[in-house]
Amino acid sequence: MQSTPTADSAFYHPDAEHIAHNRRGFWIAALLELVGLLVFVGLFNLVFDRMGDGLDGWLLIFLGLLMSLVPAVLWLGFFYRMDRLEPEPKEKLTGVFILGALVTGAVAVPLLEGFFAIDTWLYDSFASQLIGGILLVGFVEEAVVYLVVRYGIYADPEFDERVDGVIYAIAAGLGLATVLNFNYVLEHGGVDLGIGSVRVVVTSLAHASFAGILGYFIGQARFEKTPSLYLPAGLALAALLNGVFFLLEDRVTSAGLSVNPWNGLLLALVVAAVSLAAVFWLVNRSNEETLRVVALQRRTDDALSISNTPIPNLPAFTSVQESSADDADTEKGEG
Amino acid sequence: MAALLEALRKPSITNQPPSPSEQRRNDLLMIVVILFAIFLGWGMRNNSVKAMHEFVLGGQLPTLAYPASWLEAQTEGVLFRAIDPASPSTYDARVELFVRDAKEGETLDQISASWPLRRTQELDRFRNLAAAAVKGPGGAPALIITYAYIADPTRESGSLGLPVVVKGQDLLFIANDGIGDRLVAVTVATDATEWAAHADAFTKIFASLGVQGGE
Repeated sequence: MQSTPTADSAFYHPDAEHIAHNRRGFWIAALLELVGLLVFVGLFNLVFDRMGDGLDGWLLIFLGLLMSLVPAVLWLGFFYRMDRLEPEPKEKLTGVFILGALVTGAVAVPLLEGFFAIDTWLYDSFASQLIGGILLVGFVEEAVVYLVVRYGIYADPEFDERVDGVIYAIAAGLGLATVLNFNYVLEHGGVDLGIGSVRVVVTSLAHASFAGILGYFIGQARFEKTPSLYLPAGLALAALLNGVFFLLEDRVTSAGLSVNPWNGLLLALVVAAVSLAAVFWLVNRSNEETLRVVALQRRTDDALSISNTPIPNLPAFTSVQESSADDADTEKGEG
Repeated sequence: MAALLEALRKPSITNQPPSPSEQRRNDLLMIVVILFAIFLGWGMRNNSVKAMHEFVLGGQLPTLAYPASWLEAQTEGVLFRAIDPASPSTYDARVELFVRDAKEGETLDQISASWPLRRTQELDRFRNLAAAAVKGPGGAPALIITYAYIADPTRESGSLGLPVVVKGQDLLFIANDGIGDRLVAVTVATDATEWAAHADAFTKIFASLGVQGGE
């Protein structure tokens, strides 16, 4: 690994094989997270479904805040458990999560709820919910994820693999989701534990999914020369998915005066599973392509070194033949 | 675009990291894209906030506009009503429209005396707060009466909400709809504690009728 940036690279740049290392433990941890969150929802809706009865406001708020932390704690727990061979430093991953939460609380929430007052107009019409949901909510939230990764960990030597873009973006996305869930609990003076657990999981899964997609683009742009619109396209895709998802979630969970949070959970699970599969495929494909190019370069270098090997003196050759061989070597060397 | 699609299709072409200048280009573009999207979203927000729906009174009478987020509500006794479902109070902010044939020789001066009496009979603890002459649709004379009363919006549903002090304004004018003179009364009302929050919407409603002057 290079210890300092060079004229050719803005940041530390390890060798290609290192960049293309795929963390099997990360993907297993992501699958376990999905299962763990389902178990969490099941516990609060089937086993402890009467737990919130008779609890007063402060206790419900406290339990709601604790519940908001569960997806992030589960994720960090599973990740460290499954990623023991070459783990990301705990303090850096946790730092990105906390930074994501702080920037959301300090910038994104005041901007969206205060300055743009989205609650007063976003839900007025289908068009405002779709376009405003993408351009304002989607872009602001995904910008938080991008900026936290870009200015929090991007230049760090620990950001040394393509998949790190996904890992750190998901950490930032979970920080964002945690603060949004905190806000929801506080604004409602506590939540019903059953419905609250579903909402916490839906918000976390959705934001982790969008962050994962954006993270793939960040990882690519960190280690590859990409077209100028590559990274903005990744951000726009994540913002688009963000806006469309929460519009659909609103439609499938609310039917007239009744609310069915299970439809929202189903939608979030489908989105998370598809996003995870898509990012897994994209990262694997990029890594394979990186290794393929490395192998190709090696074969080319080997071929060049063989052709550059000096030819032993053969007494039978004439001076004219020796002269021709020298010219050929010079041409290959220049090539 | 072709380069972008190619990069998505076959991402790792170079195995070369971005140079410092390419990294600066990426950073700058991202900031520009984020700010541009927020700017567009801000425009969308402003359009949405200012969006109005219209209710056509018919004939040569003016058209009433009200905030697009308000919901039309069925009601007896008035021609039209729209309420703001986002009102924090149990008494939703509203606009109502009442039209009746003007009596023979009826003038705005006579109406300014009789209208509060009518309101006293309809509304509990009615208090007439002010009356102001303004210019109505087409520059015709009009009258704005400001008042307050006590409403009990949750009583009918049987819930235990407290009564609400309502502040309202009635815009009164006489207009000819092509058949004859009509007395048009446009009422805006809200929980008195939320008057300031809805003042902008009420101003827009009256402005849509061409009202000049008044509060």
